[in-house]
Amino acid sequence: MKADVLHATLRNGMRLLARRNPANPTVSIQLAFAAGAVNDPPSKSGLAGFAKSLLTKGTAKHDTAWIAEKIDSLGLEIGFASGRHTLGLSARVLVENLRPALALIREVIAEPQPPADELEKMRGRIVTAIRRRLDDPATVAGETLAAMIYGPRHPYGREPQGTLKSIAAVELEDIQAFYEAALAPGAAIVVIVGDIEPNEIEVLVAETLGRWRGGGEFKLEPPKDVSLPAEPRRKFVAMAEKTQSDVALGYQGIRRLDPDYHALQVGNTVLGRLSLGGRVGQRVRDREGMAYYAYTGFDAGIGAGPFVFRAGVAPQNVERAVEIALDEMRRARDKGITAKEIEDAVLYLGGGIARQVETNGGMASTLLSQEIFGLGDDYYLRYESILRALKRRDINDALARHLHPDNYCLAVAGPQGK
Amino acid sequence: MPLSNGLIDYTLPNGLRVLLRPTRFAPLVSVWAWYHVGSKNEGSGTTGASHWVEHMNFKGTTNIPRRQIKGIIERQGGFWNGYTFVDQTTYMETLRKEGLETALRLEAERMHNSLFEPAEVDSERTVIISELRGNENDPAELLDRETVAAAFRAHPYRWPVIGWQGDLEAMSRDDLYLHYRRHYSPDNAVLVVVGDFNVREARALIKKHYGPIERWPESPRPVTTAEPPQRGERRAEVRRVGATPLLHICYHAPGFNDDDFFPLLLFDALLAGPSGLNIFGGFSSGAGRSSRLYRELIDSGLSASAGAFLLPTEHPHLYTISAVLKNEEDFPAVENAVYQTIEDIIHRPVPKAEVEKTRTQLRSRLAYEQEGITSMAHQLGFFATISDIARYESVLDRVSAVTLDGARTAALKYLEADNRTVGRFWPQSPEVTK
Repeated sequence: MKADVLHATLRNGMRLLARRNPANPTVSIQLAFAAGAVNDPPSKSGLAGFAKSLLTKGTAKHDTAWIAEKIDSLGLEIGFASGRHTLGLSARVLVENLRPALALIREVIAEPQPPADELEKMRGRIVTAIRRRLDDPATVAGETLAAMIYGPRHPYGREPQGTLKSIAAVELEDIQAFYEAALAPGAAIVVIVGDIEPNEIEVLVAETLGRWRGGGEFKLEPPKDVSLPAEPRRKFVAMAEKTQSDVALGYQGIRRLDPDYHALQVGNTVLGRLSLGGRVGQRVRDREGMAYYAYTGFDAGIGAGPFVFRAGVAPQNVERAVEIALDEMRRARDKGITAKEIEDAVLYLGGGIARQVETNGGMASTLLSQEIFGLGDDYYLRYESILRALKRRDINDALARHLHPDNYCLAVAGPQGK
Repeated sequence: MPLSNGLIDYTLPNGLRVLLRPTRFAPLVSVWAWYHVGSKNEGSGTTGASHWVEHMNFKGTTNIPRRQIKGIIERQGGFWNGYTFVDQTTYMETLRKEGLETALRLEAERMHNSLFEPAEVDSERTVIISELRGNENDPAELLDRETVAAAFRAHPYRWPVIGWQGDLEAMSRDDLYLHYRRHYSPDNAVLVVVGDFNVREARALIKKHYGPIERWPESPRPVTTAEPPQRGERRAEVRRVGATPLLHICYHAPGFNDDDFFPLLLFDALLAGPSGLNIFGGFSSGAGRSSRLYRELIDSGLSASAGAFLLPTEHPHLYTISAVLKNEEDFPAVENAVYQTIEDIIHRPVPKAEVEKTRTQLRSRLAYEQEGITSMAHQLGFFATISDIARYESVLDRVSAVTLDGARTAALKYLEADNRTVGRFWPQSPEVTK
């Protein structure tokens, strides 16, 4: 099997990947700029997210009403996401409308000029969204944990969507400066998958996104690593009138390109994912009936994201759930996992890739992420054999190296415990 | 490509309806078992039974014990899930094509051999109550529950799908088991397979695993309660600690099998952009950017977000418009803006281009939401259970046939003050309630 992906670099430096999928009459467009929340000034955290929200709110040529009308009349579904390291665009459209959709996308990313009143309206919406997040125990627990692990000065310790204070500090000049620094054709990768020949896609892209003049470079820098806490650190955030507590326990994990990545993916699948939460879920959810959700995971990205255990439990069960998670982490660290468990995890993860690339959107985002991390077009085809080649000892050694049940941070958000 | 292209639709002697749709784009199959039972088939004392039964159906059967059920689909690289809604309960697996028989066997076992061991029932009781409490943490869920309960007086659509906590605490193992056996009879089910498989082999496997399953002797009692017409506006006010004021405006609306559904679907798309008809994937309750609701509530600065949706249900359910407000002083302004926007579409000129745009959006959305075998199988089973596939596939034609006047007539009939229930969530600051 071959991945059959067309690669092209446009004259303006933008990278294009295109692939045909005849199964659906739709086209998925995924585009990423090397521009994320990690570069937000700490006093203006949330700037990248704020700027991405304004991308359809006005350009040099058209106002927001015109853009909205155009998007909807093309049946274009388009969304922007601001991550730690990238600003992403994800869109889908019927094949017949691909060309005007790309022309519109070019306009909104190449010439954004939101007016001041749109900025104020968006500020109001972001403030409301932040208030709602602060009312959600699961979000509060996660954000508190990130701040504990990385500290307030580290980009991963700050909330990428910003705070009420930092959002209040953002001005139109900041937004414009962000666009100028971050949005450039050479700093972008675009992936297009759908029922259309890659050569045709290349022509359409050259005539639309290719007309954007500018430089830029797609380059991502991992932030500095932090050290593990010498001993457990705990924080409880009381939230009145909530009925359930959310638990977030963790520490700095690994980068996506860490040599232990695949071994830990298999190991973590057994520890906290397979069949509703792996070994941890089995005990917390099934055997003790305590939680609706319980899982563990490594958030491995450009930099070393956190390893986390997350669960939602009744307030009186918080301690017990934490105890179980730590106990299972210890057991996996000291005794490892069995050959049978590894086999199950590999079958699961390997098969998951086929499902992931079945839709146009799934294929496009897979190709995009492979391109960002330099994994190669056929990575998704090789993935299962990479996992198969891992030896049990490699996996258990990796678990022993990366599970730290005595050096964690714990954040709990919920009603005052009993 | 219509879903019915190459569709094989037949019924086993025991009444099980089977829908097979081969498509060979990826080496995968998606298997869905649909049961025509949901929260509307419950009564006082057993609210939440359908959803709890769904949970119990992941806990082992006579021939696939609990420890084997764990991981059985994952070993085929598969994803499995299930959900319970007002009209139906469903279980699904999307997995490597080699796993077809595993999925078929699992669903056959679930159809009649689930164990419902008392200890498992009790352990799941706490899991479900934990799920309910987790839902209650979200003010939008809480408000939805209260508003729906206020809108329905008679029809069992008034129960929350998860049930009321008192019933979840009191229901016995036998209550659940009876609910299961009565509703999981093959003649109350639809089995759907979409993906890369050989039709002859699939038919043989289905005969082998489902042929021997016997019907339950008595048919489930049909839901005959009709909601009496509402004769005046109702209000549901919810006060609790929270972050932002929320507004839900609900109107009694036609079900999917009523011909008024289609003009109202077009009206909804004109008001807020199309929501689509796939509640499992891609359903969008948020207002489209160029829609009137977006302009009047969000562009105007009154609301942080807003949306509307018409659920495709078997019986008449609700048409819901919702908004997240910035300040509670804005409640009257936002409410009025919603009513005025509806009035404007009904009574003032609507440009032809706007109607055309709406139809393009709807056509695109319906294509997006049946992308991939999992979504295709979902749409086939969902509509086969509460209606029929031909009716689902005719949605675009029917909506295309609706004129602007037709949409307005439907709106005049349903979106009127006496037919609505307004729910408001008033966030309280923690200091006040302590």
